This record gives sequence, structure tokens and C-alpha cells, in this order.
Amino acid sequence: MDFSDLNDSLGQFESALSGEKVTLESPAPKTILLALDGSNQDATALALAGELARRFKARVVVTRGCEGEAPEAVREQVEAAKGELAAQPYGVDSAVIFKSAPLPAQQILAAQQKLGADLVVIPAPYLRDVGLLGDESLSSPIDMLLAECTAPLLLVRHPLDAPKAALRRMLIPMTVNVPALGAAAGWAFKMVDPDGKVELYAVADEAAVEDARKLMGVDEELTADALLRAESKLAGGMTSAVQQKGTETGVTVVVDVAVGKALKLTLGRIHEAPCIVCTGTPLDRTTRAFNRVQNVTLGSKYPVLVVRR
Amino acid sequence: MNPTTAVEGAATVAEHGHDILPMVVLGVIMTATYVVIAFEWLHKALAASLGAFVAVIAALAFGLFPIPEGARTAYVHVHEIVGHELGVLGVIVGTSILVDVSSHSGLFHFIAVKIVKRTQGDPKKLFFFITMMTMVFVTFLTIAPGSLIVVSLALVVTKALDINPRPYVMAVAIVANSAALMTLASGVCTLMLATASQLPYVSFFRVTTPLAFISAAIAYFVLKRFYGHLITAPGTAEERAERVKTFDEWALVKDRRVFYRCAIILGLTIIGFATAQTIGVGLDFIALGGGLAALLFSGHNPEKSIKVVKWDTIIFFVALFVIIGSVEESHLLDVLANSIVELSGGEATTTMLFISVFVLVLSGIVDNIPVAATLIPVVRNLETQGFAVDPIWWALIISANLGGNSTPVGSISSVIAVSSLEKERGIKIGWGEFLKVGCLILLLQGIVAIGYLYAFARFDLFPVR
Repeated sequence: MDFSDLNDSLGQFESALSGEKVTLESPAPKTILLALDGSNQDATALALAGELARRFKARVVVTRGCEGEAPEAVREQVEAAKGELAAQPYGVDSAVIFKSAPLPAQQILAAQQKLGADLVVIPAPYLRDVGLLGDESLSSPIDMLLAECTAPLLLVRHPLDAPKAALRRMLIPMTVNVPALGAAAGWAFKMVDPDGKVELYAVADEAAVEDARKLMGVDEELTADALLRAESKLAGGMTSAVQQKGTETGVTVVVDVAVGKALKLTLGRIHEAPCIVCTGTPLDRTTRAFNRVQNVTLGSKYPVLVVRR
Repeated sequence: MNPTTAVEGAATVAEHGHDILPMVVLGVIMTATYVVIAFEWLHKALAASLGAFVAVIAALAFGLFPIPEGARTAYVHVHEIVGHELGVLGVIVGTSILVDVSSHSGLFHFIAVKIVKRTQGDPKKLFFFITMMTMVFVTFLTIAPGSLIVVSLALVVTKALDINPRPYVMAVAIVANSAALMTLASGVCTLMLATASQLPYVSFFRVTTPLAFISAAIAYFVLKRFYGHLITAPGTAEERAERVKTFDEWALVKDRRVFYRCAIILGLTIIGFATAQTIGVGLDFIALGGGLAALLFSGHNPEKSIKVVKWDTIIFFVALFVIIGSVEESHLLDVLANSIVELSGGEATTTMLFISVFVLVLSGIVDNIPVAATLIPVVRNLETQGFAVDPIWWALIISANLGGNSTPVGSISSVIAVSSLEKERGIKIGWGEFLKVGCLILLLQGIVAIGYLYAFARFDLFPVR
């Protein structure tokens, strides 16, 4: 008898019985910090910040980090962005801030702390067009912000022709045992179009499981079915939380579980259509989960929201 | 069947110009194929394909196949055999897609956990609800996917509550065969016979649905008595209720849209089955329509959904029809039909009851699908002899489904239940245990079914077309 259907069905029921309870946060952002950098991602960052501000009824404060004091040309560029936001038909409440600090990332951090900004929208890599760095590096300012910024970061990776289209689809890559995932999912529901879609995508990473199997000295071979079943079980709590939130808000929620190379499959899924990738990472940067989020961010063409808890 | 009678029958046919040798050779090929399937010496699709291949060679060698008009070779007749059964194949393909998409939508898993929560972890209530769920899920999803969902639920819930899974899994194995009688579309065997006989959908509510409930009740009470000592759970009722309360049905939902769409498509397909004859289309049209709607609106990847069609079942059916079609050309099935008539004295009710007993016994030993498929041309032959065959079709449907209860290999639900229990929990239900409880249930169900059929015949209760 072929047991793959049985494994699938068992995995589903096990997820109902064993899923860890996940609570979705309900963020209420009042201030968005838009940190421009003069790169070709700026227009997308500005459009996203403006649209999110309209949805959240929040204000946008525009800044730009520089090496040392901001020159006049930079100040003019930031003022122009503020003006552009204010000129929108929906009239975004906007302001400008510049903080003094030796490094751009430190200036942005200082601005975020001063404002108590709930979200930072920022090009990544910072201070460079993505074409120069590609998927090699997020840049050192972003590394620093990822390590120290307490507010979620919306990293704008590539310039998008229609940035608002990305808000129709939120993709949450499932990671194991990360409390921040509940917070990331909360942001996903906050940002998504009312008639948009939230997707939870879980991948049982064959390579990681194989390493663990060897490490633990487990002789039993783990089949794809068994991995899928285990991953479904793990995703149970999160699935329940997002589905209940989806029912409550009327947003379409789709949950998918796969087996294979986690990064490759996740990036493939991200690039199916414009989206915002909503990720949660632990505070500890040495963890595998943090590393995975970083890799997903590096590989993604679309903006990535990183929430740390 | 009495071998002497069979030989006499064969001799009669031989007098009509039919050779005995082709009958014997093709009869041996068919029987050998069924034996290989019964003992699982080969995968059933492979066994049937091999049987079909050999049967076609034999039929061609004996010159049994007529050369169809406009064809150059007699081999084209094989295509005609398959073409004649396209209706059944269409129904299987269509329902298989629809049922697969529905069973993977999470809808039935969601409902199952909701129902389990109502038991508050009480083992006796759980036993009752597992039985009821089997009836409902098999009714809508057919035997294999319906049983699979309830068996997996039973395995997971009994593990969580530290209950012995044996009675629950056995309940699914046996009650599923009663549930297959609920509607025309509740089981592959029922579907195949309904398509062949063209019995109206609504007639099933009058003839087989009441018997489905009666036979399920018999199974429930016998199993409860047999396994009563195992239907217990450790801990207090409060502890179990607390444990069950933590079950989270929302963890099973993959896509709410697919939920609603599957429910609507399933509902419309059932309405389609019920009205197919009135609107002048075949069941295959309705089933394929349902399958197509599932592919279009479920949000599933069509490529994946098409791949999940049980193509081995389709191959099995095609091969089976080729074997039976080849055997039919040897006139062996005419001999079988004549023998049945002779044995039953040519009386319609006796013939119906004879076939019923024969199929009840044989379906426990051999997969009920080959048994039923072999008897389709036999019943058609009886029709040409002037028999009112509707009661025989009903007898065949009822017996072929219930007959699988006697052994662990008699029906797909038993195979799923027994092998899943062994794989997941390491608990083996041996032939001895299964035979003891299965045969007792089959005996009681058989007596009731025969009495039921007799009453229908005696009081003219069978629907008239």
C-alpha cells in the first residue's frame, strides 16, 4: 500500500493536536521612518511608505543617513520627497529629520529612537543601487540596522514598476520556533490589501534534516512524506493563527507545506508574483533562523519586512 | 458453482457451436489473474495488465474477436471493448480528481476535528462518532479517501488520549463497506455497477441507503460487543476533556476558498448525479464536470491534481474490462449465466438470492471489483434471456460491497485500516482476529441483506423504471 496519502492525512491531524499556539501581534503604527539613500530603490521606498501611511493613517518622517553632516543637496532631496508625499491626493502627513552621528546607520537609528518610529522603510543595500551589489551583500548600514534597530525594517531590494502591487500579496516563510513569526504575520495582515492574499509557506529542509539525522545517529531514512508530515505538524499553530485572522479580517489565506531545498523553494515561491516577504528573526544573530532570513532577503527581488523579537 | 453443472452448461454451449477449449483457456487466464490479485503476488494493475495481454493473445489465437466493420484486423475489437466501458472509466477519472481535491482541501479534516471535540474524549462517544464519520465521509468521498481520513483521525486521536486504536480502526474498516451503499457515488464498485446498470440515483435512497444504515448498525453493535473491553481510556473524564479542548481545527485549514468551493462543487456533482438521466447525460459527464470544476476553481495546481488521479486504478479497470471482454467472446460467461439460471431453477427471486450469496462469499476472498465486473456481462446475458434484472443489479451492488467485510483483504477500507494500524502503531490485526469478527458481522449482515432483498422482491418494492 502507498502510505503517502496516509502520511499527509496524519500530518494534518497531528498539526491540529500538537501545533504550538501562536499569537499574532496587532501592530498600530503611528510613525513610519523613510530612510532614503539616493539609490534607484528610493522611488519604490517612497511609494511604499506613502501607501502604508495612508492605510495606517500614520505620518511619514523622511531622512537620509550620510557620512558626517548632510550636505545641502541631500537635504533638498529629502525635502522634495516630503513634498511629494504631502502632494499625494490622500495627503500624507510628512516631516523631515536629520540626526548627527558618525555613520549613516547610526543617524537612522537615532532618528528612529527619537521619533519612536514603528516601521523603517529603507533601500537595501543602503547607499548603493542594488545592481552594484546584487545579492552579494545587504550593505554594512543594513547589517547594523538588522542588529540594533528595534522597529521592523521594510527593506526595499529592487526598484519596482508598481510598488503598490506588492501589497496585494504577503508571503510569510515559515521558520521554526521563532516568536517573531507571530509579529511578522501580524504586520502582514496590517499591510495587505483587503482583497489581497497572505501566504504561509513552510519548507522542510532536506539538507538540514539530513544533517540532524547524521548528528543524532538516526539510522532510519527520512522520506519526503515523513518530512512533510513533520513540517505540517510544526506549522499547525501558525496555520491556525493566520487562518483565524484571515476569517476575522476577510483576507484570503493560503498555507502550503513543501519538502526540498528550503532557500531555493522559498525564493521560487517569492518570485511567483510581486509581494512583500514578511519574516521574523530572533534577536540572536548567530542563529540559523537569523541566517535563513538574511539569505532569503539577499535572494529576494521584492521588499522584505524583517521583524525581530 | 457445481462443476458438473458448469460442464453441462459448457456442453450446451458447445452444442450451440462454441468451443470448450477457448472457454477453458480464457477461464484459466481470468481465474489466475484474480488469484494473483487476491494474494497480492503482483500489483493489481500489473497483474490485470498481464492478464489482459495474455487474454488478448489467446482470444486472437482462437479467432474469438470479430472483425469490426471497416477494420482490417480483429485486434480492433479490443478498442471496442474498452470503448464500451468509457462511461465507467470517465466516472472513475472524474470522481477521483474531485474527491482528491476535496479530501486534500482540509474541509473534511476540519469537520472531523470539530466532531471529535464534541466527544470530550469519551472513548465510547468517540467510537460512535468514528462510526458515524465513516458513514458520512465515505458517502461523500468514496471508500478509499473517506476511510483514509477517518483511519488517520482515529490513529492520531487515540494516541493523544492513550486509547487502544484497534476497535476504532476496525470500525472504519468494516463500516466503510456499509457506507459505500449510501448513494450511487459512495464507492467505486457501486459506481461501476450503477453505470453498467443505469439505475437511477434516487432509487439508491429507496433500496440501498436504508440497508447501509442497518448493516452499519449491525457492525457497530457487534464491534462494540467484541471490543467493548478495549473501548476505555486512562485518566479522568475532566483530563480527557481538557486534552480534547486543545485540538485546533484551524491548524488544518490550508485555504478557506478551497473549502467553500469544494463543498459547492461536491454538492453540485451530487445534484448532477441525481438528475443525470433526467437531463439526458451520462454519469461520466457529471463526474468529469465535477473533476473539471475542481481543477478550475480549487486553486490547486492542475498538473499536481491530474497527477494524483489513481492511474493505477484506471489501468486496472481497463485491463479488467479487456480480460472480461475477451472471456465474454469465448461464451464462458454465457455458460456461467446459464448455470446460474439452472441452479436457481430459472426463478427470478431465487436467481437474485443465489447471486447475492455467491457474491457475498466470493467478495471476501477476491477484490470485489473483479467479481462485480465479471458479473456485469452475466447479468446482461440474463436480461437477454428475459429476466427482470433490476433486482439482480441491486443484489449485486449490496453483496459486492458487504462481502468485503469477511477478510482483511476483502475491501480497500480493510486494507487501509489494517496496514495503517500496523505501520503507525505497530499493532497487527491478524487474519484470525479479522475473520472472527468480520465473518460474524458478514453473516449477520448477509442474513439481513438476503431477507431485505427477499422482502423487496416479495412485496414489489424495487423501484420500477
